[in-house]
Amino acid sequence: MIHILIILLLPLLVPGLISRVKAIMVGRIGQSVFQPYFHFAKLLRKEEVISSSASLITAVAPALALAATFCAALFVPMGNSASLFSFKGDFILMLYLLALAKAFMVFAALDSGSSFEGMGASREISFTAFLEPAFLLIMAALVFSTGFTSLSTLLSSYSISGLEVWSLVLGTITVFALYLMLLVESARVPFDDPNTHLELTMIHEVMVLDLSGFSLALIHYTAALKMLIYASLITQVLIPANASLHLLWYLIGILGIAILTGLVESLMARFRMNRNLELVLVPVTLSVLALAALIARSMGAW
Amino acid sequence: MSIGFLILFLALIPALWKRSGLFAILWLLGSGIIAFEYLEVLYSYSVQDFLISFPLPLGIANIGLNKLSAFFGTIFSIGLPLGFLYGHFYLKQHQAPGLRSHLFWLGILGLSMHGILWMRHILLFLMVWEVMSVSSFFLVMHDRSVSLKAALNYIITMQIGAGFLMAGFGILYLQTGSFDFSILSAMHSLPLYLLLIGFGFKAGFVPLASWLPQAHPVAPAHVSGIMSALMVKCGLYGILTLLAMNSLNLREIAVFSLISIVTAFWGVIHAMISTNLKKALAYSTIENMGIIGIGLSVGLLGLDSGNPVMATLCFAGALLHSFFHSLFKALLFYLSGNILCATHSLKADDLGGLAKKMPRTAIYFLIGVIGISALPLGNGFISELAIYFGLFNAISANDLPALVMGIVLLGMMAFVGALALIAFAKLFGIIFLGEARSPKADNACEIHRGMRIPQFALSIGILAGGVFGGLGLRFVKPVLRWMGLYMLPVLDLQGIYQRLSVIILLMLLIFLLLYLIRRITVKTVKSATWGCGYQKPAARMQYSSLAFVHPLSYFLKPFILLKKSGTSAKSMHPKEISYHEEALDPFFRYIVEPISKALAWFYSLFSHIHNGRTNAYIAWCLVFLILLLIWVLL
Repeated sequence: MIHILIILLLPLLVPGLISRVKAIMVGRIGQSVFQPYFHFAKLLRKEEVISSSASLITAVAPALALAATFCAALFVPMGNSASLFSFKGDFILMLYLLALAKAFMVFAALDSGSSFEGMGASREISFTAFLEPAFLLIMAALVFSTGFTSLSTLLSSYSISGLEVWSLVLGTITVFALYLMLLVESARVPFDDPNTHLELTMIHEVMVLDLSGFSLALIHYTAALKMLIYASLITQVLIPANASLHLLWYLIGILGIAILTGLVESLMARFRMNRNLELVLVPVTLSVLALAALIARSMGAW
Repeated sequence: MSIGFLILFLALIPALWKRSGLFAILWLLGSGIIAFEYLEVLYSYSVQDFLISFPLPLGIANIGLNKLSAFFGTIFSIGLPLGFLYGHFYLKQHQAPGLRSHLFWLGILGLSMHGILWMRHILLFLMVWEVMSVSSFFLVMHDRSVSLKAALNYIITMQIGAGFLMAGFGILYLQTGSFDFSILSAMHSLPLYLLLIGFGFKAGFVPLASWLPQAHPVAPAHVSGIMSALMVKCGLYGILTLLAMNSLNLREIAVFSLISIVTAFWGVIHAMISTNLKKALAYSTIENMGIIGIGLSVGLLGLDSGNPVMATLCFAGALLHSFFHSLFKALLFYLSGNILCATHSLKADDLGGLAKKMPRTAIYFLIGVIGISALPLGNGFISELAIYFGLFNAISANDLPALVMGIVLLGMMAFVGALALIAFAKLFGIIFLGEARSPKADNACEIHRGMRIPQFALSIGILAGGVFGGLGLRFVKPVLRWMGLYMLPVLDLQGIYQRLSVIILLMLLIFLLLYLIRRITVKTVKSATWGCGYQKPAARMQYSSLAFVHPLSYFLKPFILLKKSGTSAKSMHPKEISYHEEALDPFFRYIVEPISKALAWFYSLFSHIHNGRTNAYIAWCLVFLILLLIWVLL
């Protein structure tokens, strides 16, 4: 129950927190952290302007993207050490549901016939090429150390404990890789700048330029939910396995990640667009590193 | 069974009278009967093969079925009649001379593909194999003006492949003195390698795959569909037969998996950068063969390292993928025929906006894309999931070779899968969405309803396979049992697929709910695409297919052999500049072409023997006789 509530209510808080942190960092008071909710409610009531080039895809894509992302979120432990649904290997399904959502977002972008949106779609989907191997290799590291089970079991048995050096090393690598993936997937600085409206440097924002009203509301929610999924994965690695007050720790973790992302956005510049793909390779490398470390440990090299 | 085949033979008669409709109907009828029989063999409890023996000058010839050939036979008897039905409507729309011979060779191709599964005698097998190659050669050459070169390349490649097969079988015959298939078990390594290479030519493994992207773009849509979705499976059938009867050692498995990785990777990056729809589909066939190869090699590794769970899962995945590939690849090739009929172009950058002109074709294409890029809802996901399960099993098992190979293959599978998604998102997006890029695409309209019947059937198959994964699993189960694999993981997988169906149905439910809410409550207004203030957007300004994949093709440059040509601006006021970029096939360019050029040069040394003068020919005869005399006397 709490899981469903978190999926439904929490996602939009994260972008609100991030923009508040950014505002404070540049010396403004900033908008309320609940601004994304107001925005969401306003968009739901508005009429939609649809491109004259659009086909059925534009009508279908936002709803399908949301449905797929929602189902992916069901496999992720949120606020509890167990997730709502879980079975052996469910993380593969989770990854591919996110890919389905992304594919339909790309279709919706190309459907408008705008070169601007094609550009965003091309960039967004190019990242997938390295993010999918990165995610599965991170999962492979978890599977190697705990056995082949479901996502929630893997995460809860692979949490950081302060007593063991190895778990700190591996946890740090994994968390860093997942955080980079979060930055890429939720279109954040240094990969993408959601604030540079109408410049040739955007990825996610430019893909949804021609969506409005109800569809745009769904897309905003989907993007925030995707970010929450990655943030929850990171939090779950960080929380010790048998911690009491799990929900509290979880909320603190999400809050921390949101503030951290806001700080990163305030303190870093966006990277060059054509070199971004090289940076997306970093999570792949990190996950291979984690695997190598695990294998070395099990072989008794240290 | 005999009634079914009788009907298929009878179908050759209407073929000779150019009655393509009757031909297709007879094939539907006959294949229905045969499919029923194949399934009976597949599901009968006895493991006994179905045998007919008759004497030949060279010994007893066995003709029979086992579970593996019954499995492939069922795939063929689903795929072939649908292809022929599509061909009937396609040939009406897209007429070319030589309908009679085309239909005749279609029938022969279908019969020979079934025949290959039956032959348990090496000579008969090779004969039928050759009939299959030759008949498909004639089919590729249907429209001679465009396809002669590619068809010749195809038949030569196939003959080289057949040469490897003959060499392998020949060595086997010398070793055992028998022509029966039973000699295929526990072979020495040399004939095994030769046979694997020979079957690899047909199955489209790198570096022997250069015929696929050349032959498919020029062949008629139904022929490329049948060849790419079904005929390559004959090569796979051969490979599987060999693998079921022989065991490979670790080094051989490593080589096999390396070839599979290169096949998948090479196929997918070229599918991604191809701007021709059918060429991209042909490259994607190579990629899918690579994925099947990855599944098989991990399965073999499981057998080798004593991890039966891994073996079962990966073999199940490979078999499922070869079945599912025959559905979505056939569908996509037939749809390329729709597009060709409607617009007379297959170049992605000429097309665009077809979703509004041909909505049904677009929906089928979308289903095919979901299937082929292994997204949930499509059947490709089901088979790749099984392979992923096997790989994760390899990683969690405590065995170093399995672990290292599992990690490498997992990374590559994920990378290839993502690139396939990009390749097909590009094709669907550029061809069907946005605005028409040329008048040809602008004037397109939905094609004849009949052409959509087989496509409808295939789409239903893809979705059913994707939502209810257990259906496909039930189909491959007897083959796995026949291969003597451990059956418990199959039950496990069945449970996973059931939960998967629940999730996918839940997703569809949420989607429908949201869609209906939007449909009922939201008011929509149509307006031009927002062009950032620019008032006169043109269709040519849309992102092109090469631009779409440019971030990755730039990144993967070392793996792609690009030929660039064009003129740059010379003066202050350039009149015209051009740029042309083409991806070349390195295997073709650096292996096949130099060899064929050297051969051609060698033969050209003797070409002046053919000078057309009778007295010269008589002189050659005399020289030959004298040489013969000397040889006899010595």
